Amino acid sequence: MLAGSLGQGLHRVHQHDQQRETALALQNAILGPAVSSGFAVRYQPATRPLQVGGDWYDVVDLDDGRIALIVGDCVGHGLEAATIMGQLRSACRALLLEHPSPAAALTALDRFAARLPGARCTTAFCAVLSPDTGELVYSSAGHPPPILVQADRTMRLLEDARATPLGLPYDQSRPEARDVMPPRATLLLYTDGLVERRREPLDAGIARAADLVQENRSTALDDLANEIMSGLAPSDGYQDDVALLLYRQPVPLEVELAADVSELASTRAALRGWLSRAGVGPDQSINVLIAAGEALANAIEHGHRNRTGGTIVLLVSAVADRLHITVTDAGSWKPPEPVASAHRGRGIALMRALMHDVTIQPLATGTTVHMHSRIA
Amino acid sequence: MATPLRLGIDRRDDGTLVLQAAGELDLSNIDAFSQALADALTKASTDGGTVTVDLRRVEYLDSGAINALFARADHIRLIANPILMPVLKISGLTDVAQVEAASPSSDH
Repeated sequence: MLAGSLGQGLHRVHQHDQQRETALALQNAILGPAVSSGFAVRYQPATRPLQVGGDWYDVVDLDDGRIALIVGDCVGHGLEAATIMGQLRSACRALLLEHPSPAAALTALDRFAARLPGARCTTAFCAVLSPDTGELVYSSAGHPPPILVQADRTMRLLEDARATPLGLPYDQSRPEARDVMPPRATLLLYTDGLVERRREPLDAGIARAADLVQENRSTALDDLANEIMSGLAPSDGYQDDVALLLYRQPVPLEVELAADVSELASTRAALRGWLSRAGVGPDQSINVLIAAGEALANAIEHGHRNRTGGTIVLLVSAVADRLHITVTDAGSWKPPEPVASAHRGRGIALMRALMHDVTIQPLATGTTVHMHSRIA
Repeated sequence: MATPLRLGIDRRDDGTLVLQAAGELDLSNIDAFSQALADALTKASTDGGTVTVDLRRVEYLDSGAINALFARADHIRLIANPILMPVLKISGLTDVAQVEAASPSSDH
């Protein structure tokens, strides 16, 4: 008798583990792998120990170079909501790849949701971003408005182009609105679980989230995601599924170049274009170009003295009030040769004069240079 | 893509030797620039003159070019693209060589 109920208990534990594993595999299949660089995402389902829920986020690289950003929220929690979410997410992705219009995608998703039991009343926000210009075209199906915070702290909600949640009788074509993210503006897409609190209007929660983004507009995106998740969590934890997606204009620049002087001009051209997209004026741009050029020249000249075929990586990203440059090579900058040292000395002095907080980190695997520049 | 650079040496009617550069100066073409500077100075030295280095159409230069100019600081008169004046000042070149900013719209 005792052995029997113990056996049943163990069986249940085993079933429970299996269910959890299945759910995790499902979540990873649905939400993984990592999104493109330049975005930060968080996902926290309300139902434990399940790792899936009815919320979703998605970042889709479109054929024309634009990027679709989506967040959505299916009714209910747990595995059942997750299976509906997975279907809607996949359908939305396919629709956007076929025709990159948020209004068209949500209109088509209406028909899809109307035929899928449990999918009705799903809310979703869908935007298509032109990363070169920061232009956003968007449409909302009853979803809370994304928060856009400019580098100067100005905040606005993307609250135009709103219509009903998905799958309801709606015979008009859905609206579409347009906005432009200025350089170094931060965009937060989220689901209502992030901001909704009992006995409190939704606006209060949205204002709280906006405050956090405004305060942290100079925080790196991934750290900002952590700040938001911990800063907005109720004392007893999130009671609803939460999905969030963060983007800051422009996408960071990442150039991998061969350690060869012939790569300098094209790398410089790429950096020049990026600085313009980041809203850095010509007078400051030339200083940044020269400082980065010195780091790249050093990496080419001295970072690969004893080897061939080495590569150098240039990474450039911006927050509201400054930009950050990293140059990584696979060699060593020391010891200086007598003839070369005067030249190199001047190059490093220029880097220090033109940028803030220049650090040169010699590592066993190579040398990494970090530089910052404040943007007025 | 190769770094764009055009170099030319001219003697003006008043006898001044001018080294003109247009494009960008970096590690890939610094040897060509240094050689052109040396050639111009050789030509000028026969009549004891200095060389005018016309960098009005240079959009970018790095410490390699600044070093080459430092080495000849006593014998050159430099006309620079205004956008490059801050870096020429920071490097100290303006303290040892005669450097003037071209007016933004100036042409040949």
